Amino acid sequence: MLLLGLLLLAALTLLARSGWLRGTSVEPSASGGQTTIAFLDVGQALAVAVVTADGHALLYDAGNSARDVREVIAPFFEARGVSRLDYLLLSHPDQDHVGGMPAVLDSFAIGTFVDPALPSTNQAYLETLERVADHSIPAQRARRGQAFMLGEHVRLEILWPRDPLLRDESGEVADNDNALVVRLVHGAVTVLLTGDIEAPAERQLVALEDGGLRAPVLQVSHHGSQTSTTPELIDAVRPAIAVISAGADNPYGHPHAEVVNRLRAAGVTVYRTDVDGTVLIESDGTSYRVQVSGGPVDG
Amino acid sequence: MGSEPALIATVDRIESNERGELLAVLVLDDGQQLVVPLAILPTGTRRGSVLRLRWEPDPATERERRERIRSLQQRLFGPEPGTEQG
Repeated sequence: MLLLGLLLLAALTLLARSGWLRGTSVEPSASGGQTTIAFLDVGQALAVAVVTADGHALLYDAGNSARDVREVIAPFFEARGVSRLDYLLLSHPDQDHVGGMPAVLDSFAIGTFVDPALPSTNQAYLETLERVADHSIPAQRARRGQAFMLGEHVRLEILWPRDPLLRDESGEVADNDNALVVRLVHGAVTVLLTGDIEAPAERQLVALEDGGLRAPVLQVSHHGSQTSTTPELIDAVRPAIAVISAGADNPYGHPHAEVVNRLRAAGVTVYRTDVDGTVLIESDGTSYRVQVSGGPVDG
Repeated sequence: MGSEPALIATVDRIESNERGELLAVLVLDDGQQLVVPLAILPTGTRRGSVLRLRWEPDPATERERRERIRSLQQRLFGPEPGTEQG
């Protein structure tokens, strides 16, 4: 019996790494063609790009710096003919998420800027807000319950944060724990983007969703830090694959072995940008395929 | 002086950018690098100089930056909901 289980797990892992897998949702599959979700290799940072078949696009976080935009983010979009982002989403104003935002705003037309609007002293965040204001870009304070359409077939649902914002032990508004959590829904394929949320936010999110958090694709929070990705979250999401965005030999030891082991023990196939390069999810709305670049994506 | 906890940086080399400004590449003992204009370093700093880094809080700049961000957030997103408007 154990042998059979191991064989089944191995077969699923192989399938997950190399081919099409079915989404877990039961939504209709009117997908409008293929949507690409790219976990871009921006080192010890995060940038997730989404492009639909009909040319709509968004970016969730923008890496560490203008260099990430110049060398990774902009080439990815340009290779797909994208010059306008319907949505530019910021998970939270830490440098490894906001650092490239000013350069993105200099390089692309933006439909709406979506931001949890947390207190900050980050200079790149200040420059981001200045550009959004100078260019008169519509801005949305992201809060749980909001939803947007990316084109006709991809829905974005804001799951986190919610008011009142979480506070840390010192009474300050928490940074990571109020990061923007987004669920992308393309037909039956769901992708959960979690920014850097940690255990306290995960606990609340799991309770709020009350069984509704399942998603076959999970962006592992906080670059695989042991502060996050609790067993309760994994059990609630039940991902088939998980993507960790981390830089090779980063000083924090991300991703922490404890988190990777926890995911693998739950039968999740783990991809890492520090190992696999950019990780592409190609969804047709009923199933998805994973491709890894092993290096820079050239389109 | 030597007993205080401090970061030690070695000026590994001097580079120049496209505008001809001189930049000092500081390398901390753990290998981290910091590239800063040579002009802001103590007079006489040269390749091979060893510097002790000191940190000084800047509450005025912190306050100003926090306030500029809060002001822009209010302009862009409207009034802060809930308890944030302390």
